[in-house]
Formats: sequence, C-alpha cells, structure tokens
Amino acid sequence: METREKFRILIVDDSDFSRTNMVKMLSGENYNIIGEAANAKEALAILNDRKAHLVIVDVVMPEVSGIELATQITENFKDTAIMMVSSLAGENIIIDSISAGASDYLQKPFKREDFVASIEKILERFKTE
Amino acid sequence: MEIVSKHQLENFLDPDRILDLIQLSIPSELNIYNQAHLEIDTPVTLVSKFHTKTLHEIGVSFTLDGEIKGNVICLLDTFDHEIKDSDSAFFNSLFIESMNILIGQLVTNMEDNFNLQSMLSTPSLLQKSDDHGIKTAEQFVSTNVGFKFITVNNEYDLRVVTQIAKSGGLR
Repeated sequence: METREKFRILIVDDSDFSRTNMVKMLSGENYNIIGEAANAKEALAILNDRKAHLVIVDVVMPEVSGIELATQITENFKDTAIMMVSSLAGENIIIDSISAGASDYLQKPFKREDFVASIEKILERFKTE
Repeated sequence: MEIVSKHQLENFLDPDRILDLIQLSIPSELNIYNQAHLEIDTPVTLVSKFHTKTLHEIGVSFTLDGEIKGNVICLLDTFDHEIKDSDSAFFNSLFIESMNILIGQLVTNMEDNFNLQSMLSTPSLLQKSDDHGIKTAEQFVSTNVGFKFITVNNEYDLRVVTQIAKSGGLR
C-alpha cells in the first residue's frame, strides 16, 4: 500500500501554551512535528539540522521578530514553506509577512479545522512535486 | 464606521475620544481554544488613578508604539483561588497567551476601525514583588475595563488598564 510521506513541520512561538496547543491540534493528522522553538535562534538551529516542509511562525517574538525570521528562512531554506500566526492582523503586518515569504496568515485564536485546512493548502505544492 | 486620518489624530487624543477608541475596539468576548473564556464584566471607564497591582494579582504588561503610544496592564485577581504549584506553569502560560490574544485583537480593531496603526510588544510578566500602590500618570489618558476570565476550574476577575499617551505618535 502506498503511504504518503509525513510532512515535516516546525512550530515557532514564544508562548509555551500556544506551541503546545498547536501540537495538540495537529495530533492525529499525518504530520511529523520535527520540533518546537521559542525564538528565531532555536528555530534556525533546528532548521540547520533537520529538513522541514513547513515552519509555523508567530509574528511577535522577542529579539528577532517572526517577520525577520521568515525572511531568513526564505533566503536560506528555499524548499521550506512558511505560515504566520498572530493575534495581530493589521493590513501592514499581513503584507509584511507575505513579502517575507509567508504563504498564509492566521489570526489567533483560530479553529483547528481552519489551521489544518491552511496547512493542507500550503503543503499542496509538495504533493505535486 | 468612523475613520480618523493622521492630521485629525491630535484632536483624537482627548480623553473622551480615547474612551471611544477603547470601547469600540476591545473585544467583548473571546474563546481561547476552549481552555479559557473572556467576557466583559464592567464597561470601559476613564480612570484618573488606579492600583497597579495587589499582592494577589498576576500581572502582564505590553507596550504600544506607533500612531498610538502607551501601555496596557492586565491584572488577574487570584484572591480565594489557590493555584497549585503543579498547575502554575500552565496557568501562567494560558493567562499570558490569552492576554496576548485579547490585546492583539484590540490593536487590530484600532487599526481596522480607526485607521490607527500601532505595534504591540511581547508580554512582560509582572513579578509578585512589583509595586502595588496607586498610580497616576499625567502624560497618559487611562481607562479601565473589567473581564471575567473563566477557565475549566475557576472564574477570576480581570482588569485591563490602558494608558494612552496624550501626545500620540505623530511624527
């Protein structure tokens, strides 16, 4: 039987609650959560070590913002997609996120079905490659 | 919907207009991933002085920068609600993220409704030893709004104090 390769996802958020909540939302789905990072430095260390199809990035983080992290991921990990999440959803932040390479933007709090649907839509590109 | 342009902003920053800004932008109800529920308990009012924190309150603060400058302090009253040591890490994390979502939506609504853009800082947890006196601030217009913070186990009183700089963020 042909089985789909598990998509590899990294979650980056400075909130313990938020990271744990996202991991819980994705449990039972056919994803491999390769790691959790609380800041940009931890995220880049994981990405240098392990391939990820998708990185889910919180916008507001201390020291290096999520948008700066997305720019670095876009420049250095070209085969990795990015989804931004934040409680903020102003027009400029969304535009900056998309400009930094994000494929989608979800405002917190989001529903599990919207979260999974957004991930599936982003990961479509890997299914057709 | 009222739109305020930048050249009108200076006039906007009088106390009554700031009261409107907060009243119309603060979410009245929020569900935080079925782990907590927030609902307004007492309406937004202007305050000239306020207790920054009591010994029983857990506090978190944010700064606002941009066209609206100031800070927001969220204080959760744990009086009569003992939080076990084993639960405190999860509880604090849930509280901080809930406030991040609440204030993030406030900032987003200020932009959507009034065309006023501000950036929100990451939350800072106020320590137990932080001051708990009465504070007045001449350079700010302060508002207070009360919420119920309802978790699976308990219901807490929450007050959210915003302090908006009277001079605004005009460049």
